[in-house]
Parts: sequence; C-alpha cells; structure tokens
Amino acid sequence: MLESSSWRELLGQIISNPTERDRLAGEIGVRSITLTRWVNGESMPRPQNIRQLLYALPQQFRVLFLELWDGEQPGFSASLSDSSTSELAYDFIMQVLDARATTPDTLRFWTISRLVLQHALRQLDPERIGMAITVVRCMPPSRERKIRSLREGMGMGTPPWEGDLEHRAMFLGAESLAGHVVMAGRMEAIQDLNEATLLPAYQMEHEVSAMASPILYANRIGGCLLFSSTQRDYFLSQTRQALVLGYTRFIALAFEREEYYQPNLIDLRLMPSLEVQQKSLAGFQQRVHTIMRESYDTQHSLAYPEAEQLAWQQIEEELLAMSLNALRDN
Amino acid sequence: MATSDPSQSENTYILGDSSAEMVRLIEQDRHFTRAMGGLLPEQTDLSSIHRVLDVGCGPGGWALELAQAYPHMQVVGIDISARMIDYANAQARASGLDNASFLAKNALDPFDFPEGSFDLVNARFIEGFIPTVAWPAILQEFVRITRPGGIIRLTDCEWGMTNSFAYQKLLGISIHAMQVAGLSHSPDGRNYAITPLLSRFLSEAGCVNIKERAHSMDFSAGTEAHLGSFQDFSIGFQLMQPFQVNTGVTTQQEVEQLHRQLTVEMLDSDFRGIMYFLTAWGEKPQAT
Repeated sequence: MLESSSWRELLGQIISNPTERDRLAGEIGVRSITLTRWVNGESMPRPQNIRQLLYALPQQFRVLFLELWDGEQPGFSASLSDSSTSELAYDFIMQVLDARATTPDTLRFWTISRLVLQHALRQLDPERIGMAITVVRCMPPSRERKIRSLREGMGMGTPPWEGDLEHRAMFLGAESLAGHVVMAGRMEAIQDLNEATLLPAYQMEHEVSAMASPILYANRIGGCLLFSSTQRDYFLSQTRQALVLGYTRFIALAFEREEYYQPNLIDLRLMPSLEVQQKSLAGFQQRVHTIMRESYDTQHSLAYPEAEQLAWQQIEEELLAMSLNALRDN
Repeated sequence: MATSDPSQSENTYILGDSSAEMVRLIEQDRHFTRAMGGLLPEQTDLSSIHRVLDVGCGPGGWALELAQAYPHMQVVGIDISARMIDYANAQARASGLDNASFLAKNALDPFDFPEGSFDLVNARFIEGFIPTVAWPAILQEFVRITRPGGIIRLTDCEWGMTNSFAYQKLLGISIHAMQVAGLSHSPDGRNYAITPLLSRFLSEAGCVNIKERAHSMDFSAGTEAHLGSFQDFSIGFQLMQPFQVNTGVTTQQEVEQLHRQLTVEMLDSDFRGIMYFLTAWGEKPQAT
C-alpha cells in the first residue's frame, strides 16, 4: 500500500505509471496532462471529476483517497450521500409492489429481497466506496416456542465486499447488533466499530460503521436489515437514516405473515464465533442435498427452500449445544 | 438477454416477462460478466468509443455497469419489455448516472436511430427472442446505425455440458421447444448452435476485421460459480416451463418432475458443469 500525506501525493504515485495514468484519464474523460496539473497543484478537479476519479481509482486506494480529499475539502464524503434524496422513488415502489402481487410463493422472498437490495445499494452507495446489506431472519421457534437465534440470509455488497454474500451467511445472537435491534425492536447504528461502544457488535472484515433496522409487520418481528459501510460515521446522515428505514419497510413485503413473531417470543442466545460456526456451515449445501435426496426417494419431495430451512435448523441446534457446553465449561 | 412487451409488438422471449425473471437476469448478468473477464475484455482501445447501444439490454445490468465504469461514454439500452426498461432507468437515477438511458423498443423492428449513431453496438444473449430467420436483417440494422470504423459485438453461449441427467434432459426440451418456436439454429437439438454462427452473421452483414474470443465458466459443485448458477438454472428452468409446455414438446408433469430431480443433482457434491461463451466482433468498413 502506498503511503501518502495528501491526495495529490497519492494520485501522483498512482499516475507515475503511464499506463495507469492514461487509463484514469480515459475513464474520467480528461487529458493525461490534466491529471498531472492536479498533482502539481496547477489546477483543481471539479466535484464531478472527484466523483469520477473515486470510482476509477483501483479499489485499494479509494478509501484512502477519500480520507485525504476530505482532510483538505471537509464535507465531501457527506456530500456524496446528500446527492441522493431521502425519498424512495415512485417507480421503485411500484416495482416492488408489482413483484409482491405477481411472483409465485416459491420465488417471492428471493425476488423482492434482491429488488430491494439492488436498489438500496445503488442509492445508498452511488460512488461505490463500500457497502454491504444483509437480510437477517429470525429462525423458527424452538419446541419451547422461543426464537433463539437469527441467521443471515440474502446479502449483497459493493467492493471490497463481493456482489453476493450468501455463501458467507452465519448465525447471529444476542452478541450482535442485529440481535440487539431485533430484541429492542428499534433501529440502531454504530458509527465507528473500532471505538468502544455500549452496543454489542460483531465486526466483519472491512466494516467500519453499521446500522440495523428491524423488519416489522403488525408490531411483530421477522428479523432486521443490516447495513455495513467501509466509512466511519456513514449512518449519521439523516438522508441515509431515512432511506434505511424506507428500504426496511419495503423488504418486509418479502416475508410471509407467519415469519413474524411476537416480541415476547424473542429470546436470543449467544452464538459461537464465526470461526466455530464455519465448521458446521462448511457442509451446508451437502446437508441440503442429503435432505432433498432422502425426501426425493420417499416420493414426498421437499422444495429447495424447505430443505434449506431444515438444514439451518439442524445447524442451529448444533451451535446452541456448543454454546451451552462452552458456558458450562467456563 | 432481452424480454418482452411493448404494446404493438409480439413477445417472443422464452422466459416471459416477470419480476422474478428480471431479478434472475440481473444476477445472471453479473455472473456472466465476471466469467468473461469484464465488460469489454477483448477491446484494448476504448478511447474512441463514446456512444454505445446495448440491444436486448433486459434490466440494464451490462449497460449500467459500463456507464458507471466509463463516464466518458453515453450508453443507450433498448429492450422490448417496459418492465425491464423502467427498472433500468430507475437504477440509473438511483446511481446518479446521467450517461445511461433506456428505451422500450422491439429489436425486431427497424431502429429509429440515424445512420452512424453509435461507436459500438452490443448484443449479449439475444438468441432467446430472435427468430432464426430474423438474424440477417437485424445485423444489417446494427451495421446501419454504427459509424464507419465502429464495432458490432455479439456474445452468446451454449448452455452448459453437465453430468446431470435432469439438466441435460431439460436443456434438450428447451432446445426442442425453441426449434418449434423458430428460435433455434440447432440441426439435431443437442445444443443451441448459435455461437458458431456469430462470425458468419457479422461477415454477411459486411463487417470486416472479424475476431472471436471464447470464455468458459466452470459451475461444478465446490466452485465459486456453483451457488449462483444453481439459482440461475433452477429459477430459469422453472420460469421456462410455460414456454416448454405451450410448444407441445413436454408436459407440465414431466418438467416439474425433472425440475425436482435437477435440484437434487445440481446440489450433489459430484455435480460437474461447464458453460462456454463466445464473443465475436467486427468493424463497419470505413466509407470509401
């Protein structure tokens, strides 16, 4: 990683490679000499140039460049968000409602969730400086009729996170921000995960700030929508908070009514760390395959989502048993 | 891949026009672009490409990514489906992209763009709605609206070779149904047989400097592409059932049974599958 004390110095180091200089100039629509003039302080890029440059820079330099630019031109990061409106567009609303009205049961969650996440990523992170959004769902109640854990379902992100986060899904409990939000029934944000906070939090790689918002229907809870950013204080903006609430309200349309639970049924436990969970999650697809194969052979074949749910429940039982054993050992 | 629906035009797209298909296309577009190494991986000099047309753009995945990656380009997408076009325009607005726009137009009708309007005309995965007999006329239109020296770029694929009985059977049914609907170039129903023809279409339309580049995507169990491809094919074959049944080549009972079997076989740790893509591109000759 390059070390630089100013955005000019950083840009200068990047364009010292003539191929990279020409590529950047081509992508943002200026001449190569213009980049050199910016570096030498002979001219200043316009805000639109900076937006384009931010996107055209190699991924590993974007966050540093933005920090250095913000240091010289305070408030630019905030202006990135405020370029968007806090209102959800009418055509987006109609698309989601149309999907709700016309998509068969088996595809409804998948279709609506992806529609909402795709739009949310574009509106909340138009410059692609790094955001991940995950749908976190309540696991079905135990025999004691209690919701003991949440699981990450569908997830999508912009770099440095991958487009599709489903294969990284894990269980979350009371130790997580998502768990706290589901138990409290209200939105919460952590503006800097590197600082001490009173809220519980699990910090994933690249994540600097996070916000979670409960998914509600008739005051019952289905889970939460979890937003992660590579930027500190990303969720301070009123505009973003309004959008987070709006998208959470809409993702509620992806859930079935029976997937919402009364708040007094939420009794989240502590779930094991990701490292511990990975051992159980590694064989997830094989577990689903086994369940489907067995049901297929009996001629009472399960649909994929049903088999998937059974596999999740098996793993939840194993993880809860591990947690209990760990508590006893301590 | 495109879809359907403007009011006066016939919808010939084999997977129909639904929200689920729109979302599936967005996801598929992302996976395929990654498998092919990027948006325009074979084009080494993009400096002279300013105006781009994407034909059969669907919900605009490729065109939106291109507009975001190359702000100096003006990207126009067309698709017959008003649903997809509304979605693409909404995504462009949400991203603040003022260099991407989308229009509801039937690619089977003559374009109302003036001659020489574009530096690059792109069409990816359009075999699902272009009748076999219509390809030559469409290519002539592509050439007409491209500037002299500009590029016409076609990308298509053969939909996989696997060790799954259900997959191969469903693929055969799909190709047979497309033959009945006049959409398949296959002489024997074993594969789509579109990729070997792309260069010939370009050549017959008068293009020069024609080149080809192939890519493959391994979507076997355990690969990075497996889960995404499993969802893509599982949902795609489900959405294709009405088309397959309506052509009379199968029954609802048969495709539903095969679909259940497909799910089991694709999740098996022994599942193996590879797809192959081909991009063919050529230049419109300079005016003499």
